[in-house]
Amino acid sequence: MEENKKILVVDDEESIHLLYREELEEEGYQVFSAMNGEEALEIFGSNPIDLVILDINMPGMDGIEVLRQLKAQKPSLPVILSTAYSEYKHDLGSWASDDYIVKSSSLDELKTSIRKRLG
Amino acid sequence: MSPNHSLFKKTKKERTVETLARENESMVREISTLYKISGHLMTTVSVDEVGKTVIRAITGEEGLGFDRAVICLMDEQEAGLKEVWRGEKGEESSARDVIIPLSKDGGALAQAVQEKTPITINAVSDPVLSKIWFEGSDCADCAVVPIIAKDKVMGVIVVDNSCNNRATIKENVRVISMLANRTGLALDNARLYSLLDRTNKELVEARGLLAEAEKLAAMGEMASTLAHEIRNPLVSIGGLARRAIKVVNGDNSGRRYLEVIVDEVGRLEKTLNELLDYAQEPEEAYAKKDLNHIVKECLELMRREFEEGSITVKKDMKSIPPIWCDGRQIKHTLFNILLNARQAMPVGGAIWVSSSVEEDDAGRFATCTIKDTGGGIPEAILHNIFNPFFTTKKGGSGLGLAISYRIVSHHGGKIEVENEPGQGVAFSVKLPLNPETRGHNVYKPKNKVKKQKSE
Repeated sequence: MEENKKILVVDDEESIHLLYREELEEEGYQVFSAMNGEEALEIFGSNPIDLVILDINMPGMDGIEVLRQLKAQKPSLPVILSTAYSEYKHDLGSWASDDYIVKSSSLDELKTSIRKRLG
Repeated sequence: MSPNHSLFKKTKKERTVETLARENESMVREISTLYKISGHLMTTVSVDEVGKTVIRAITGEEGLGFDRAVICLMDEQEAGLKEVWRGEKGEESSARDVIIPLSKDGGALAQAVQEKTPITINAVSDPVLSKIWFEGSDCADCAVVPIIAKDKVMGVIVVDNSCNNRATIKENVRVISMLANRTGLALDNARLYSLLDRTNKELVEARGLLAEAEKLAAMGEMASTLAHEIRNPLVSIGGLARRAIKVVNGDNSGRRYLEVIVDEVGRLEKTLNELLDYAQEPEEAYAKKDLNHIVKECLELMRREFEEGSITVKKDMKSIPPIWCDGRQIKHTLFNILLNARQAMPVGGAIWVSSSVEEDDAGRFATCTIKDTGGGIPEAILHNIFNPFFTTKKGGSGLGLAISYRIVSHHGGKIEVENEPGQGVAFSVKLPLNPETRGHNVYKPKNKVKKQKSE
C-alpha cells in the first residue's frame, strides 16, 4: 500500500490542530502538528514532509519567516498559508507561498488545494 | 463806464454766478450720489449684486439719471467682452448673450479696453454700439468707460442719454469714470471674496473627508483585529460541529442542534468577510492599459541605469490593443526583468525590447519580449529561476522572478524563457487579449538548445 502523504500543520491554536488533524486524517493523510515556527522547522528537519499548512500570525517566529526558511531548504515544497487575516494576501512575502486560504469552518477549500498539490 | 454797460456786466456776472451755482449743485448731487453708491458697493460681496447696483445707480432717478446702461465684463476664455448686465430708467433688463471681440470689430468697446481710457462716440458710426440697444436710438451719443482695478481692465460700462435734458454725455464722462473705478474695486473685492468662499468650502469639505478617512482607517484596523480574534474560535466551533454531525448517529435532536450551530457559524463567517471586504481597500486595480505605454514607462525608469552601464536599448514596438491588467503589477514585472538584464551585463551590452500581438492555441496575447546579451542562464539552474527565494545574486531576495511569475499567472498570462547559454536570455511576458483566457497557467521553460528537442 502506498504510504500516506505527510502534512505538517503549523498553528498556535490547539482547537485548530484538533480540527485539522481529524479532518485530514480522515482524508488519508498523516498529520504532524507544530505550535510555533521553531517547532515546525524542527519537525520538518526530521520528517519527510510533503506539504505544509502554515498560519501567519504566531508568537515568536511568524509564518512568513517560516515560509522563507522552508522554501530555502526545499523550493519545491508546497506551502499553503492558512490564516484568519485576509489582508496579507497581497503582501510580498505571501507571494512565495503556493496558496493562500482564509480560515473557514468548512475545510473544503483547503482540502481541494491540498489534493491539487499532492495529487 | 456807462451805467448801461455796468448793468449789462452785472447781469452777465449774475448769470455766471447762477450757472456756477447750478453746476455746483449738480456736482454736489453727483458726489453725494457717488458717495452713497460707493458705500453700498463697499458692503457688497456678490459680483451680481455689484453689477445690478451699478446699473440702478447709473439709470435710476435717485442716481446719476442716465437713460440706459450696459456693463460688459472681460471673458478670459473667449478673450472678449461679455455683456452681463443692462438696464433702463432704474429697471434692470436681461443681458443679451453676446461676446464682443477685442479686435477692430469690437469698435469703441474694444478701443476703450485697449487704451484704458473713456471714449465718447456717436453710436451710429460704431459696429457694436449701433446694435447695442434694443430699439434704434435717435440721440446716439454714448460714453464707453473701462472698468479698471489694479491696473487690469475688468470690463466696460456703456451709457447713453437718449431722451433726457441733461448736459451732453461728454461732460458726464468724469462721473461715470469715478463710478467705474469704484465698480472695478467692488468687482475685484467680490471676486476675491468668492475665491475665499470657495477655498473655505473646499477646506471644510477636505476636513470632512479626512475625518471620514480616519474613521474608516480606525474601523478597518478594528475589523482586522476582530477578524483574527473571532475567526479562529469560529473555525473551531463550526468545524468541530461539522465533525460532530458525522459522529452523531441517526436523526435526533442532537444532530439538529449541531446543524443549527453549523449554519449560524457560517452566517457569522459571512458577516465577518463582508466586514473585512468593506474595511479593506482593493489591492488590485484592473483597468484597460496600453502595454507599450507600460514598457516605455519602465524603460524611462531604467534609462539612467542603462546609460551608466553602457547598455544600448533597441526597441521594436508594434501597435497592440489595450489589455485588461493591473498596470502597477505589470510594471513591477517588466521592471524586474529589465533589472535582471541590467545586472547580467555588468560591463555593458544590449537589450532588445519588442512588443507584438501573438496567437497560439490558448488565444491571443499581447507580448513583450526583453532580450539581453548577459550570457544566458546556466542550464543546471534554469528550472529554478521562478522558485521563490532562489537567487544567484549576492544579497538577492530570490523573490523578483517568483513574484513576476505569480503576477503574470494571475493575469491569465505566461512568462516564456528562451535561453541561449553563453549568449543571452529572452523573457517574454504574454498577457491575454481575450479576457476569457484568464486563469492560471503552468510554467514550462522553453530552451533553445538542440539537446532538448531530441528528447
